[in-house]
Amino acid sequence: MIDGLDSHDPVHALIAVGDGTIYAGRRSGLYCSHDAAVSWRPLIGGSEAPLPAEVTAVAAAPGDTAQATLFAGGQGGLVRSTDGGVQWRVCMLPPPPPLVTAIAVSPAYAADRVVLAGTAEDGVFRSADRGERWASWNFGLLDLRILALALSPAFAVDETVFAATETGIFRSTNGGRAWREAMIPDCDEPVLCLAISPDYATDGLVYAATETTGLYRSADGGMNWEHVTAVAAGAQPVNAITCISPAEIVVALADRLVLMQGANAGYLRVVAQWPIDGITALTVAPGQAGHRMLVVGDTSGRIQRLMLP
Amino acid sequence: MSSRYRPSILFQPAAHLHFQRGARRMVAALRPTLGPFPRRVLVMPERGVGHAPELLDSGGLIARRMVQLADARADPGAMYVRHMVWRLHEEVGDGTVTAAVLFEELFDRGLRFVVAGCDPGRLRSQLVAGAELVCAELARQATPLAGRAQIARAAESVGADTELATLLGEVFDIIGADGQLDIRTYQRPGVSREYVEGMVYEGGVLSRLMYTDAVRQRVELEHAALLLSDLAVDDPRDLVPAMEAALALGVRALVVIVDHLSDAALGLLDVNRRAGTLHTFAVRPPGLAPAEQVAALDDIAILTGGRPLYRTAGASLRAVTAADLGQARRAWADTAHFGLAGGKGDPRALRARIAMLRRAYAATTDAAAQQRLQQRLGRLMGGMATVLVGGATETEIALRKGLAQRTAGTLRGALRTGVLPGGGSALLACRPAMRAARRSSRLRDERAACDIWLHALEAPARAIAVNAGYDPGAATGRYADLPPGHGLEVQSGRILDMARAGILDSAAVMAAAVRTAAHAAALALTINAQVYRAMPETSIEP
Repeated sequence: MIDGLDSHDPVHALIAVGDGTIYAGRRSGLYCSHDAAVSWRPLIGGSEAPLPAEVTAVAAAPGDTAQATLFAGGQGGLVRSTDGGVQWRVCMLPPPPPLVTAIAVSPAYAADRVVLAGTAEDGVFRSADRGERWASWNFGLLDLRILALALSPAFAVDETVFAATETGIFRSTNGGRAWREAMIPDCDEPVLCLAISPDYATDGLVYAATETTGLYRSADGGMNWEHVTAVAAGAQPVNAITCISPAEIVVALADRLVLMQGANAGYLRVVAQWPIDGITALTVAPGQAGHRMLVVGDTSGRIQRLMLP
Repeated sequence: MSSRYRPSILFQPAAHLHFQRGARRMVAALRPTLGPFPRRVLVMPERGVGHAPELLDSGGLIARRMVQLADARADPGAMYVRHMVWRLHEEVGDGTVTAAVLFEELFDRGLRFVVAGCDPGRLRSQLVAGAELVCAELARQATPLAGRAQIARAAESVGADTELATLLGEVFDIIGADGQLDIRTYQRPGVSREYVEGMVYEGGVLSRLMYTDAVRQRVELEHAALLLSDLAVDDPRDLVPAMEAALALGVRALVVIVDHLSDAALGLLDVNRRAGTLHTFAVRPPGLAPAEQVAALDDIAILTGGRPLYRTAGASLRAVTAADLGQARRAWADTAHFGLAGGKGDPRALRARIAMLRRAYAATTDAAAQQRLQQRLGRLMGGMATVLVGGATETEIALRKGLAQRTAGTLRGALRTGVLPGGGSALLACRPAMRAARRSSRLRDERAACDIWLHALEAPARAIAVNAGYDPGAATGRYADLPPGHGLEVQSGRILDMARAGILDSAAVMAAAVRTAAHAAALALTINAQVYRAMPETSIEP
């Protein structure tokens, strides 16, 4: 484990882009690492726009270029960089200025140019021109307090997006322009994060992590949900999840990180655990010699690296 | 047209034959509009009503325009069909010609059995039972309607207007079955659409002084508190508690929804607006009737987390606290409308209200009540779509607007109850069940009803084929033993899986057409005598 940064600077978001660069959105701003999360440097806004003081969400357009298109959000709105974070431009969101809590970029961004931004009070904003113009698209979204967004890997074809809110899950099948409830039965508590299988187009697997009742899974694109009992979350929140393969997910509980595997969609078992408190963000990055590396941020500000077995 | 008839009473068999002649005249006017190649009906205006003739392809409207036949003996049959068709048009908006074609076949075939000695009363109950069997089979075939492309195909099945159908496919994919939709005309070719976020009501701002954009005559507020009441405000001091409560919430904008504001009260709001203390606008509670206003205020309260203060409950504005005020991220008003977006109400309460309204919608059969409930549901769902329909001439614009309205009604039903293979193939697929019912029946009347239905189930598909230029005999021959869901795709002339080919009908509309036609035809078979008056009234109702 490597402690990369100062403490008392909670990590809100982590992403890894194709060339191995990792970005971290923190209370003190946006940071990047070009050496697999060993060292970090802060990114500052260019002459055109400052970065939000506190970066609550960050996303990158798909691609392996070092000149990645990045979106970073925080209190007051969203900024965009098309040169890997050197220069930033303000994205003009409809007023009043929102708190951006989640950003999702289309896997087919180069073709469809779609970016979605979830907000704390204003629902979902959508841009179909690389973030130039934004419009609020909240038809059917009965809860506007967005906590997470997750796009189908086959978004270019199925246009499916999931939004986690303070009172449940909503699904869009038209690229985030209208929403329908995809509710977990008997559960209207906050859904803190979502994860979608890389093979979603064929297996329809979606995971949803709640604040007090643990982890749920749907194998039919959010139509039906079942409780994942293999991870005993108790009443503690599941703060982050990521689906690293169709049969493997990593779940961040309040006091530990759990790697679960399943031979099929109907069964998951715990294969590894790491005792880490207060995890708030995690991402998978390419490690050395082809190994997969987990990068984990927590409330105390530490960013750690874990090699997956 | 003569309005003076010879008074008389006509008994069987003449009564049935004249009734049948009138019914056939009406159905003959409607039948050519069925299918993807509709032929239209030109209706000349009444004297003094206007000059432009109407070009109609809606069965309901065509029937409504035919208020009397010159043939006095045939007139009752025509008016009977007219009322059946118009009632169906009012209730579900479409399926009227299918119902008319089914009616004609059921009545004509039924009449043969009555003449041959079947008891009309027993035959009536067996025909109605047959309708329920058909509806059960249709429900079994129904599949959900989802996705822009599929909705567009269902829209195209209503009227062969690809441009309009594509647009409505997009619109209904976004707003869903319950969404708010306004269909307007504009003086341009083509069709277009706009979307407005949030809840939109009719009713403009109470004073021009409140505009923040005088050029656009519009006021927009951010982070607004809302005072919700049907009380009148004569004394400006009544507003002070609400204004103080808004400031206590930390907001600098207040939307005042009250029945009336005196000049003095308007002055108080204006003074504070100019001072920058509190930006405000005021509107009246939406709706004209008190019940409508209460419903609207209740819905706004749910969306914004406020508590409405009602005159009938003895509420007073002097006791308003911060807890009574709703809150919204954005509020706007112009000369004719006001709207709210980003209400800060409890989403759980919002879901409960939507579920309650949906239950109320399902429980009522009153079309006006359903429309009101649907509008409330649409506002709570978070947005509104406006479809703008244009064309080259006024006649074309009116025709397309009518088609858009009819298609919208059909799509709402289809999104709720699903879709069926179109082109009459869903009815054809009910024949095996009807044959099985006939084989298991022991009563003569029951077998007769099954025979009548077996013919009637082919009638809509046959009418579509004939309207598209196919020979009636050849069209009938093609329906002998089709696989389920297959039918004649009249554009290509091939037998296809209709659902796969994108030819779809609304399950709700088809079931309503079957039931309406069966009940009307079965009842008409029990007519034993007709009474003719000297001065029959023109059928202007509806």
